[in-house]
Amino acid sequence: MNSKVKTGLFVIFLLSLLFFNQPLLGIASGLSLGVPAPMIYLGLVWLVVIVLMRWSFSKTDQKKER
Amino acid sequence: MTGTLVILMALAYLAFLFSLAYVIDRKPPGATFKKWAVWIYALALPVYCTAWTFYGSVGKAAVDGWSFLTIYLGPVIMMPLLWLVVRKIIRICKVQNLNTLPDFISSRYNSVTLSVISSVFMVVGIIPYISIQLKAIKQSFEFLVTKGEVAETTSASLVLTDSALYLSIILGLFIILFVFRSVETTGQHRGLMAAIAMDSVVKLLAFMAVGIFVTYFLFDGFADLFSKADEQLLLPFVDMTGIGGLDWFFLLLLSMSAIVLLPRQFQVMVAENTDENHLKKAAWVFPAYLLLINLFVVPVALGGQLLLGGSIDPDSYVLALPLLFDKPMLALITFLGGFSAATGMIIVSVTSLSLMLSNNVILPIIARKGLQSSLRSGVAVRARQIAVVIIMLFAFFYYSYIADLFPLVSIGLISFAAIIQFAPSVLGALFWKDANRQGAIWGLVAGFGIWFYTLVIPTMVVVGWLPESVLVDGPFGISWLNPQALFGLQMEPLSHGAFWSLLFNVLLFLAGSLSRAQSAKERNMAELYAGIYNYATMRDEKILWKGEMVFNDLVQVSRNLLGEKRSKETVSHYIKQFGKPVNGHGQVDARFVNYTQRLLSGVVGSTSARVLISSLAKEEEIELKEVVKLLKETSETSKLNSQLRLQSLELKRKTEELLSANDRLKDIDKEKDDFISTVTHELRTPLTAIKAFVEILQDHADVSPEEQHQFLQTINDEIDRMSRLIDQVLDLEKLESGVITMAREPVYPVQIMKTCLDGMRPMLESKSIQLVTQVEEQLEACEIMGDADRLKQAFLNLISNAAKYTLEGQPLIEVAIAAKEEMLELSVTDNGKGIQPENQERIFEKFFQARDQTRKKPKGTGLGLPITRKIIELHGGNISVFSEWGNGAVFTIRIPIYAEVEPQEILEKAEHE
Repeated sequence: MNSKVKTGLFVIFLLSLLFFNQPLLGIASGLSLGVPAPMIYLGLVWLVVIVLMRWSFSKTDQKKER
Repeated sequence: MTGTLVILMALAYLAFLFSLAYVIDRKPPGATFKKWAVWIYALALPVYCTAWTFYGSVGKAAVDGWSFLTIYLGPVIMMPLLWLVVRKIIRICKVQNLNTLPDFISSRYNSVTLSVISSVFMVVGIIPYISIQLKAIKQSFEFLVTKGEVAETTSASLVLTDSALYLSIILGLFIILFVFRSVETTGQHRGLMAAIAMDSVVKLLAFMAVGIFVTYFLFDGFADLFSKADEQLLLPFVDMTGIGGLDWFFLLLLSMSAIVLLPRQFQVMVAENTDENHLKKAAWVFPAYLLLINLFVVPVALGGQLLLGGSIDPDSYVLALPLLFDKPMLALITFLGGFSAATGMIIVSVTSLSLMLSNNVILPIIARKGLQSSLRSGVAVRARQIAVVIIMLFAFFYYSYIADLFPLVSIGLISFAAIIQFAPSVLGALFWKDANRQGAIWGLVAGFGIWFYTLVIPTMVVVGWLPESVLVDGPFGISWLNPQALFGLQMEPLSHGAFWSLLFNVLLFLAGSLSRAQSAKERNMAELYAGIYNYATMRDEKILWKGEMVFNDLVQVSRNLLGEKRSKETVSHYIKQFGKPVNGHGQVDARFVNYTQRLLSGVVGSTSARVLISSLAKEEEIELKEVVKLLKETSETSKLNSQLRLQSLELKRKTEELLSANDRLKDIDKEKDDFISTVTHELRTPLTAIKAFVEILQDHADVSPEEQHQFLQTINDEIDRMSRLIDQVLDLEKLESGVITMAREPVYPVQIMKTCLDGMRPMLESKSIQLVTQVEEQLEACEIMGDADRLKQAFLNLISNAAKYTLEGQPLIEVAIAAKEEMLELSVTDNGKGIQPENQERIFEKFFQARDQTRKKPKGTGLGLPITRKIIELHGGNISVFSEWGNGAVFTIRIPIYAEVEPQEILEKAEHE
């Protein structure tokens, strides 16, 4: 795995730490589409982390295959 | 629902898990298992989700809102670091044959004391966590059987009638009989891992089933559920401004460390890892699992509050909702989900803790007492079994006297706060080469001491073992020593305890490490740990050992623990790889000592192995300069390896280039052969005709003068054809080889085209070919850099080609010139049969028409189009053909316009004029 991917992983770590803490956590309040806005916010950030992790590692696997 | 049915179902589920593990362990790992191994690994990580997740999360959500989620967000945040941190731990453990966290720490800091205290701290810290699993199973069982009527009266149960006691016995027996059958501990337990992965699937499905039932059957979806809640109930879920801050941050921090350092997580993630690449899948599958299992926590909590109110303990909502709304089967499935969550945690945690206790406490005592000759494999297995019994007993008594009085989550978090105390030593071991034994011991002792004081003492007050005044006025009336407000700091109790314990832990770890120099042995291990990727293939010779040890003594210990057969195998394996390990005096070399110690670590742990080796040998102190020398050698070897790797890559690249060049040469060679063969053929045809006519003229004197003239004309035509062919071959060769240099001067392509058309007009008229031209007059001024003669040659080729292939009867050629973007576009269209799609690119190949057997006799040399293309390419342009079979063909030349004059400007200027 090259240093770019490692840096990318570290950036994902820092961003998720940031997005799962105050003050960003306070962005979502009230109800949205009938459900609590924090539920949507947390779910979305969570999904983005999953997708980024999947993408980062699939990229390294592709490079390895090549 | 009867108790017997529930017990039978639970036993059937356990039997299913045991059989699954047994079947998988019995078979050698086949291709199918290897294919699934990565999924088993990824799905074993959710052993993190225990009964606490199953019941406690809902309870916590009902009381505190979103704060329950921190326990799952912490691991999600940690996932990107798996590859950077956990992979390094896995590599070290593989190289050093380690399988528990205390082994990892004590091996790095080279300290038996550290091994003992970290094992004891780990057991003390985790026992409350195991106890809440017993509590959860017991509570859920009684709730299911009595429909919640006696759920609150469990503390009155007698020990012997307590179902948790029997559960402890069954699970303890499973571990003793199943997990600890074999003496080696570093061999992965495939069956256990598969059973844990199955557990994860069951608990996820069970929890989601309840979630779907509550959200879509008791209510009409998420929106309906939230719309029915009043403002007060909704407030903790819609307003995030009140939460967060320090408490939230500390909870995240605790769970971030727990996901790696909890004994069960370390066991599953590190000790049971068979391939580091499995981390890549686990890094996204595990967060996805956590997302799914938490999806319905809030709906179930809110649903429970709306439908059951305060009549039921929120920890029991998961079970109560299906049970009280007439879905007994769903309630039973839910119970099994919670049961599997708890049993999975208990099995893996007790396995790991008993290894710690036996390898780091019981066996070193035996080895130190000079009883190493009695230390056989049977003793090692027995020590683990005794450790299992001790841990299960402690967990049961903790559950009976303390855990029953607290909610699941609060007890679990106390364990999390204990586990984070290992974080400084572990991070120091991985990344800080100057961290030493003294710092690690100081940090751990201080951290655990304050953890006990700030988090465990208050539980003792609640139980009644200590007076309440301790929490009100502080011990002995000293208020600044109040366990929940140390030095007057007011925080939420958990954050308070975590803050102070971690602060003292880190400070003393730093102070201890900086105030004393490392021993040479410690430095040696520090280098090995921090730079593990350099040592992975040369481990035994890179660990310094100095002393005298008799070969037979070492082999005897190895035989006792590994068995006769395995011991012989390992010795012969060593001899095959490195040669004889013994010198003339029967003393073994350092590499063999390290090799054997590593093997023994897999059986009795690194601490016991170290103690055993020390007890057999006369060890000598290693000097720091020897470590420095070793480091230098390693650094040079590493550099050399790196250079070799680079050179090897370069060599590989060059070889590939050579192979590719060779292929190209072969192609060119073939092309040349084809070319010679075609040219020869093309020359032979007119020569044959010439020879035939000459023979007729020679042999037949009676040929009439008209016929003679005709024959001579034909001979002349054929000679012209040969001459043209030779000219064109030479022309093309010169163009391709670059012998001909193109003039680069301003020329006017429109005027050149007009000149060509004027020259061709008589020939076209003689063939009755209609010529249509569409030339924008303003483009006449359009200038390009090029060679006028060559362009003329190219245009003539296209026009004469079009003339050859126009439709017989109504021949028509259209010539159009236009400017598009920065290109001048010249197209020549005929109305002949056109070109078949598969041949449209090939017509630009040399002699294509000669090789094309589908056509009639070629009308030209077959070099016109290749020459044209070459000329246009040398002008920086390109040529293409568009044709629909049966509808003629359009040849289009695009040449870049001389940059100083833009086509748009030309058009505008012309319009203006």
